[in-house]
This record gives sequence, C-alpha cells and structure tokens, in this order.
Amino acid sequence: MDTGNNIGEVFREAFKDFERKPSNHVWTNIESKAKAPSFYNKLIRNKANILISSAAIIIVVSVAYFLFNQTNKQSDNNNQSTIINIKNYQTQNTDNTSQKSNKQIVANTTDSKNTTPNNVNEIVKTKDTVGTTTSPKPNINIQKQAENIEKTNINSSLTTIPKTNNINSTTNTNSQKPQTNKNYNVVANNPVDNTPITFTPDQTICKGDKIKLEVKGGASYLWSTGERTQYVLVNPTSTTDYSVIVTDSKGAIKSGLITVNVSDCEALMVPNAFAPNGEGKAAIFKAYGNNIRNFEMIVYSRSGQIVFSTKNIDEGWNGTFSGNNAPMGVYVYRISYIDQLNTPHILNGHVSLIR
Amino acid sequence: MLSEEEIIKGCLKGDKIAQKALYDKYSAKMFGVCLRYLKNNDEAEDALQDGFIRIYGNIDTYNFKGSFDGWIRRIIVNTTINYHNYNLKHRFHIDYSEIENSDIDTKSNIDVYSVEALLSLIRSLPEGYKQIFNLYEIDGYTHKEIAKMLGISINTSKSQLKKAKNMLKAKMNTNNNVI
Repeated sequence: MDTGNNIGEVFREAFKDFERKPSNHVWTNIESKAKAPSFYNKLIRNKANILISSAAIIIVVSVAYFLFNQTNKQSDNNNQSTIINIKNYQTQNTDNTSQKSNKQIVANTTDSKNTTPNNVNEIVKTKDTVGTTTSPKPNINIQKQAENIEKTNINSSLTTIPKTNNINSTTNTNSQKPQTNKNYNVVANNPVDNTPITFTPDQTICKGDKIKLEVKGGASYLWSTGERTQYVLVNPTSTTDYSVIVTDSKGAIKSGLITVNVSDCEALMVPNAFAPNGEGKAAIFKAYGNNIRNFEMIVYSRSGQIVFSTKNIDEGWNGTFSGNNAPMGVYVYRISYIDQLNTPHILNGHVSLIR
Repeated sequence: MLSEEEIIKGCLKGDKIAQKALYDKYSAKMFGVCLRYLKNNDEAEDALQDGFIRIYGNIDTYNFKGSFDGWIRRIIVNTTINYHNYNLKHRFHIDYSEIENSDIDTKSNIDVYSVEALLSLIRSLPEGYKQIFNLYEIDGYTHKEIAKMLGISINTSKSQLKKAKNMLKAKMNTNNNVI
C-alpha cells in the first residue's frame, strides 16, 4: 500500500467537516466593509454589456428627445390668451398696512389662427420685485403663466390688442409682441419713498464662518432671526435664506431675501490606504477635493525616493514605480494646495499600499 | 432562515440580513479552511474577512450552476494564497532536500491523531508545502490547477507534494515517539 496516498486520505477524512467559529470581531469588520457587487464592476466584467447598455441609453435618449419636442409643439399651440395681472401696492401711512389689488387683463390678439408664436423670452425677477423697487415709476415684470387659464375663470375686462401692437412695460425691461394669445403675469408696484433700500447680495461662506447681512436705507427692520437691527451677524451651518422686512420713514414696507450658501471648505480628502490590484474603487491613490488651486502631490518610498508626483488633482498613483509594482508597505506623501479662500496648505501623511 | 437562493439574491442587492445569513452559514467552515492554509489564527481571520468581502463584492459572478459551497471555498482558498503572496517574507523556496523519501509505514499510528493535532501538523509545514498539500490532498485540486494558482510548474507541485507528505510522516513519527 502506498503510504503517501494513505496520509492524504487521513487528512482529507479528518478535515471533511472541520469547522471552527471565528471570533466575533471578524463579522464586525466584514459588515463595515461589505458591499454589493457594483454596477461598474459588472460592466467591466462583461464587455458585451457595455455595448448593450450604451445602445439602450442612446435609444432611450432619442425617444425621450422626440417625445419632448412633440409635447413642446403642442403646448405652444395651446396658449390661447394673454393675461396681464397688475398688482398695485399702496401703503397707508396711518396703520402701516399695505393694500393689494390684483387685476387680470386678457389680451386677445386679433389673429385667431393657431400660428406658432414668436419666441418670447420672459424674465422672471421675483426677488427684485420685493428687493429693489425704488424708482418713482412702477416696474412691470412679466412672468409667463405656467398653466393655461380657462377663459371662463377670467372676469375682468378683456383687452383686444392688434397683432402688431407691443405690450410695453414702462421701464423698458420687457417688450412683448405676442403673435397668438399668450399668458403674462404683470406685477406693478407703487413706490412711495425715494430713499433707495438695498440689501446685502447673496453670499457664499465656509462652514463655521460668520457673515454680516445688512440693509442700506429704511427706518426700522425685522429680520427672520427676530432681530430688529440694521444688520445681523449670522453663522449658518447649512445654506439658509434670511428675510428682512424694512419700513421706511414714510411707513412703506419692503422685504428682502438674502441667501447665504454654506459650502464645505474642508477642501481635501486623502485616503490612508489603497490596493492597486484590488477590485474595488481604491485601486489608485489620489486626493479628493473641490475648488483647489496649485495642487501638487509627491509620494515617497520609505527610503525617501520619489515614486510618484503630480500637479493634477485628478491624477493618482497606481502603485507602480518605473514600470514595476511597488512593494506593499507604507509610503509617505506631501501635498500642497491653495484652497478656495486662498489659504495655502501643506499636508504630510502616509498611505499604505496593500497588495 | 433564508434559503440559499434567497441569500444569494439578497447579497446581490447588498442586503445586510442576507450578508449576515451567508456569513453565519459558511464562516465556520471557511474559517476551518483558512486555518489549514495559514500559520496562525490572526492570519486566518484576516483572510476570512478579505474572502467574505470579496464574496459579497463578486457574488454576481456566481452563475447558480456549480455548487455555491464550492464557489465560496474557491474564493477563500484563493484569498489565502494571495495573502501569502502579499507577505513576501513568507515566500517559500526553502530547500528541504535533506528530507529523503523515507517510506516509513505510519498507518498504524495515524488514527490516534485528533483533528487539532493534524491541524497543527499541517500548519507546521513550510508555506509552500502546506499550500500544495492542502490544495491537492484536502481540497482536491489537480497539479495542473495548483501550478496555475501558485505560478509554479506542474513538476514542482508534484515534487513539493511528495516532500510535504514525507515531512508530515516524519513529524508524526517523532511525535509518536514522544507520546
């Protein structure tokens, strides 16, 4: 009998149902890293899939484009009437309340045929309406009505304009010449005070920073923060809208809206390990960041040799050095950059190459 | 209790419950495999961990045709082999030429060994011998497959297996004498 095979059999038999429970922390580690197969991986594995999916995308996009064009044509043809809303703001000095009145005017063009309308570019300036109406003449802003309003809902007087007539706003911001019936929303404001009231324009700050929001002009103020001062200091942690109601010396009320965008200025993220022959995303060592200028990264081996350097933040080290795979181990990097607030940074650290 | 198919489908979607069920079902068995291929528990646990992460990430390559157990086992075995290759210092190529083909019949003694003892015997082998012995004798790979997996020639695989077996026999004899 061949004792060589015999010994193999003994071991095979002994280990056939051999089990051992691993310690609990193994699952904890796995759980934190376990991922489902990614769509990207699947694509890479099967090149045929790439062809099929790109073809599918092209078809879907072109069908969608075709349908979209069709719908647009239809909706253009459906615009039947032009509605002009005029809002008059009148301020009463006695009780500091403002009265509003809305008027709707339907302007019908004399040409009743459904012709394709001229391209009318409406400018929507909701913010300016509340923010900067200071001119003695009323501003008229024209907004395109989203919905098609049925004629039966409109009780106010109908204005029929000749096809060639322009509907002119008094402040030369818009001049409309509808060829068919179209909907417009016209907002008119009656200013009562000549003192210009301006607001701090929209701001962008870094997380954690404070910013001063200010009103110029006006007599009394009420901020959405509850403060009644002419300016407020705010430090929002996420993008926030601040509104302020300003009353001028004559009692007229104006409101402003200032948006403070908060951006994450924690500019750069550098991973601490990568695996060039792994199958995941971390196959390349690179820094991730936004709004970075003058980026430079140098990777050294432990003996101080430069194994990789780049000035492009989108480039990374793939774990090779002069054509060969660099050995597994710890590498040192030095990154310099200038962030969006023009602060220069130098970052030293180390990264583990795992094979 | 999820069925195997439910587990696989759940893992495809990254469902945590299915991932845990798969782990509960196979971890002990696969840890046993890792223990045979690697020299201590820490290494075996590392390899088991890597192996399961690979299984979850590549479960879409399982085509429901072969046995799922075998598919998992193959990934685990490959992971343990890669684990060696990463640790270059463990690279084998130790010349054990002093071990001659000693045809001592150890049959009568083998039965007294427990699994634990056999495990420690396997683990006491040099890395290369251990891998080939495990792959060929216990996990049933052919020399051709082993040669491909380890990047060695078929003849190297054969001769190393022979040396591994001789070494085991020698070790068992000495142990027996002590006991």
